[in-house]
Amino acid sequence: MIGWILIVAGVVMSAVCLYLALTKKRRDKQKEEEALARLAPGGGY
Amino acid sequence: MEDKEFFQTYDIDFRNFSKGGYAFVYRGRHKRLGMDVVFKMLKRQANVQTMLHEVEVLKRVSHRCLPRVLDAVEFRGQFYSVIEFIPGDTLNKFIKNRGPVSYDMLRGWSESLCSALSALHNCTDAYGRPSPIIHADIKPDNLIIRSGSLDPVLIDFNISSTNPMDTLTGLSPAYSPPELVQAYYDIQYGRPNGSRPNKCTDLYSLGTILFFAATGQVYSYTNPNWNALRQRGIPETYILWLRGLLQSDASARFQTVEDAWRALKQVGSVEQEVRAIRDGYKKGLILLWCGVLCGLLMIGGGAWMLVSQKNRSYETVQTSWQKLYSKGEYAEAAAEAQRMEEMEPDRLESAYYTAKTRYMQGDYTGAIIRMLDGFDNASQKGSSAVKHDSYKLLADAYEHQNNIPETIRYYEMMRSENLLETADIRDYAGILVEQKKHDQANKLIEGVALGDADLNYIQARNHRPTDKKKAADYMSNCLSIASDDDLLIRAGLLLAKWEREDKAPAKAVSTLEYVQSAITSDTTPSPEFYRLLAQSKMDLAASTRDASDISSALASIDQIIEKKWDTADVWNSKAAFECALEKYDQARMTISKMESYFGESRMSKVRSALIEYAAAKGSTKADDYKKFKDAYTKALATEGDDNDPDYKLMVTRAGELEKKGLLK
Repeated sequence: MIGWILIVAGVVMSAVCLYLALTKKRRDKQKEEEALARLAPGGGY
Repeated sequence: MEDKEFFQTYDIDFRNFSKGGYAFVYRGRHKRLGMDVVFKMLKRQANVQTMLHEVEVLKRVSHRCLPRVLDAVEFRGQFYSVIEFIPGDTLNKFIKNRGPVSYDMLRGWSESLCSALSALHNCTDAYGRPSPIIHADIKPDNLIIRSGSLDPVLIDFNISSTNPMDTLTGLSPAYSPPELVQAYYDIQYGRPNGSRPNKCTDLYSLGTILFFAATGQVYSYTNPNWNALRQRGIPETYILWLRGLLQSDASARFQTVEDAWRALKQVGSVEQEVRAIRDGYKKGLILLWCGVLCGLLMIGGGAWMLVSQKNRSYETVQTSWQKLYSKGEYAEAAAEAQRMEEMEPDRLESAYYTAKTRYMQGDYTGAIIRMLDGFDNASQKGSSAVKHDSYKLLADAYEHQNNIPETIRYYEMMRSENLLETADIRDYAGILVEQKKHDQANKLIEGVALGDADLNYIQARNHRPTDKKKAADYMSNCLSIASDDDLLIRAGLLLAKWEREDKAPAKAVSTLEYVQSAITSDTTPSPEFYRLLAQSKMDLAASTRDASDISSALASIDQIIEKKWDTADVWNSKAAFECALEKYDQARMTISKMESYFGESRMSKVRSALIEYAAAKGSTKADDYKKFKDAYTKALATEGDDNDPDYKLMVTRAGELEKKGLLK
């Protein structure tokens, strides 16, 4: 029982962390671009 | 202006001069203001309107980064404009002498120049209407870096424009935007071009001089060298802002200085934000990959647990069952028992573990069925210990179901196979005694070493119907070896009861007092124990009539009353003993309390009469027996048992008094 609980929890944790790790670069890039866009002409400052 | 007036106002040094585009420039001093000034004297061929234009423009605006114009005078046929002298070098000279400026200074200059341009571009005319001033010639030679404060001051407003329709009279191509350069050449060659200096072109020029200040290089829109800025350690955010000023396409450039200024103010915060995102990226990524690793470890751990669970030996599962069983985790223990059955279905032991678990879960029928199946089907019966445990389990389960014949049958099977242990004999004998099968119990216990307190207790109960002395001996033996408080109290109570029955209250008192001293301080005997002790003491006091015995009995009675375990009998006995000690008032009070707690009764009235009799006893006066007579009359009027000894005694006493003529 504990073995199965560990496996399920491990799969969920790995999947969530993997997804977040793989998409982190894109998400951070987007945040950075949003910040830099404030310095460009017409950038919503 | 007349000579006298001019020289009263100004000192002018005609030897210290330089040439400008349309004027000679002299150093001088405003005497009254005590301020250094420059005089711009118009060259002969120049248009006087050009000079007046600059004077008009500078008079309309005041800013620390713009020079102040003080006057415009005509002297000896020459026009002069008098302007504040700005000590310092032009940006061109400043950069040549000191090299490119630091980022901090560049930021400061950017702010100052944005502020100055804002003052120019938002200028109003004498009527308060918007009338922006476009400098139109911002370049390193027209920017003086003030000595000391190093503030940039924008000079030379000769070609500045206040009218959007002004013609393009001149420009510095290296510091002008592409559309203005194109317009200039188109006009030179007679081609139509509507582009004129405006706010946006000033911003482009501002960008070029900032680029120059940062790198020492002239900006080229055909081949912009952004790396030169990076090499100077200028942050990307500032470069991005500068690119907003230096866009070749005018529509993609900052349109107003306010827009540029607001964006500039955000350069620092955006820089920090970007740095935080980049730093956080590395840390976050490490954490997330750690999370992935943890998840994989959990999967591995879980898989390892499942595999090792599957590959466990029978003995390992057995040990696990025992641990779970001892912890009282019966559901998990049942799963382990099931596993043992799957591993070794032919072993009686496997059936036993399942049955034992069911038994502990209160499923006695399930336990019996599984155990009987085990005996029928298991080919490996195992050791005698396994068989013993299995039979015992069946006997216990049947006993829980009150199926005593089956219980006895399994104990008998254990006996026939020599599997009975001392504890089993004790349990079995207990059952036999309960069933009043004393002979059978006797036979069972015969020959067993009586070092066991429980067996002594059983034997005592077993012998009581036939041999009271032997029974008392066994019980005494039990009391002397018992270490369990519960058994001590049970045995003491039973022995004391027997001793009371045998009219030996002193022994009963002694037995109970021994139990009181033998049990641990944590255990409190039952109310029944204390009542029996009090009754025994009362019996003893009644038989000896000894004052100390009576006092001891009274103390026990008071203890029972205090603990609220009292009955009417207890109060009656208390009054009787108080009477025996000739404490008549106390005895009367006791009866009064008894009646208040339990109501009036034959018992209370009889006791009152006996107290009054004892109080008056020996007197020869009829008046002294008046109280007795009243109580006696009330007792007779109350319903009750006429065979009660106390009642009979009262009637006898009344008869005696009547005969003596004392009961009138």
